[in-house]
Amino acid sequence: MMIYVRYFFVGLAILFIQITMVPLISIEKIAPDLVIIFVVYMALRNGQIVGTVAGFISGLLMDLTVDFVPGLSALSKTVSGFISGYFYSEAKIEANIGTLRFFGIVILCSAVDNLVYFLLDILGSNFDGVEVLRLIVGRSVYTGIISLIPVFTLSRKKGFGYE
Amino acid sequence: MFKILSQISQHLREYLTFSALVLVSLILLSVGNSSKSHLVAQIAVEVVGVTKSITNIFSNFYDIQDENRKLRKTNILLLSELSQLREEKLENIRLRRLLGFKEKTNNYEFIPADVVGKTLVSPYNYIILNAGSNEGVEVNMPVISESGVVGKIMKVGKNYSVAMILYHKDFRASVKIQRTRVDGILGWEGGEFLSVFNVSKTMDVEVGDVVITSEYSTIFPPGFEIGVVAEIDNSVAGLFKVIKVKPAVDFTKIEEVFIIKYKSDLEREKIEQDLLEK
Repeated sequence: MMIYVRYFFVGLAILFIQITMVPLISIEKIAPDLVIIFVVYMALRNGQIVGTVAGFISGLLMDLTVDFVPGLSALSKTVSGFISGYFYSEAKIEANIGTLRFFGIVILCSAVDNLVYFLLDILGSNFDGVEVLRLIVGRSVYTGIISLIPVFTLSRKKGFGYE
Repeated sequence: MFKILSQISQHLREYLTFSALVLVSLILLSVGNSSKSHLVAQIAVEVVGVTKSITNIFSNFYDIQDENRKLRKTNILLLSELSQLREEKLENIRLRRLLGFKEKTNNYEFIPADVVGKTLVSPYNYIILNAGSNEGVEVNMPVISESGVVGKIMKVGKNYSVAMILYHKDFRASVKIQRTRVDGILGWEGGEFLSVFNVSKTMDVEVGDVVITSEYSTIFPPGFEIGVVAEIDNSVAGLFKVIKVKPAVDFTKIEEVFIIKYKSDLEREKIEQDLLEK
């Protein structure tokens, strides 16, 4: 139980960085999504249910503090957390988190997250299609690149995070 | 079929959790702006406001800011007056033969506020201001800077408020081309420029024309600058042209704004509402 309390506070810290620091590293109005990296990490480490719940809670907190559109990020991150849970394997936790596989899963889940986030715009055609595509691809790739930081950190400090 | 069913039954807990959370998210989406979410939103505005204020502390040179604020306030009043004079000159040319022209009032009250946080990287871009209901801020009040229109208030806490800026996908405002009085609806479809919709291809609009708020708006007082026409495309299919507008406000550098205590004409709103209901 204590581990989940710790995860919650780590999640809050990541959200704090997302609100305050991430806008400063945006490129052409495209910013990485640290929260989705955390959600994917949770799912790959603890399974599909934890990933789904982590996605929902972090999405809800993002709705309240980043977008001010209740439910939108909660929905997109729940779906992403659920999908990233399919890659969970008790025997392959280390391989999933500490290798380039993590980068690939983050890109995929980030793309799903953005796709659900922009779904209404895509269906309603009330936002420029090229712009939506630029945002989806840009955010996913940028988030994927940022996810390499924990991958390299974990692979250097072998043993950390695998207790 | 059997395979799928057995897979679902094996992972029933996962699917149930997922379905329940998706359902809750959808419910939240549908009731997002109801009064029930008001308290939660108010608390969230306060928390984000305080967080952004703390991170903004490095740039908080109070004395300089205070002096700057006073100068900007004077500047904005003068610009508002100048804009009003320009407007009135144009109106006189067009309407001098009409009698009983209703005089416009220019007695706007401004609430100064610092931008303590902003996001420009989302489809729902906003700024966080350190003025809230304690200062008299209300939802839908217009927000301007010395350069032009910034946006409108969307959430209010006691000491902080959140304003949706022009680069917000839900932002709409009635605007007009200052030179030719052509009306349109301002919105944002992503990218660097804003768009003016519903302007017929036959209307006279040129690159460089100034776009201002219109009298039709129930939120913004008329005559405030929004930006300058940057691109026009008549080659698109349909009846309307595509007009791209470069905003007058540089949102990357915005630090201080003014919230206008502007109340639209309630009688007019009521008549419009009655018409819509019919």
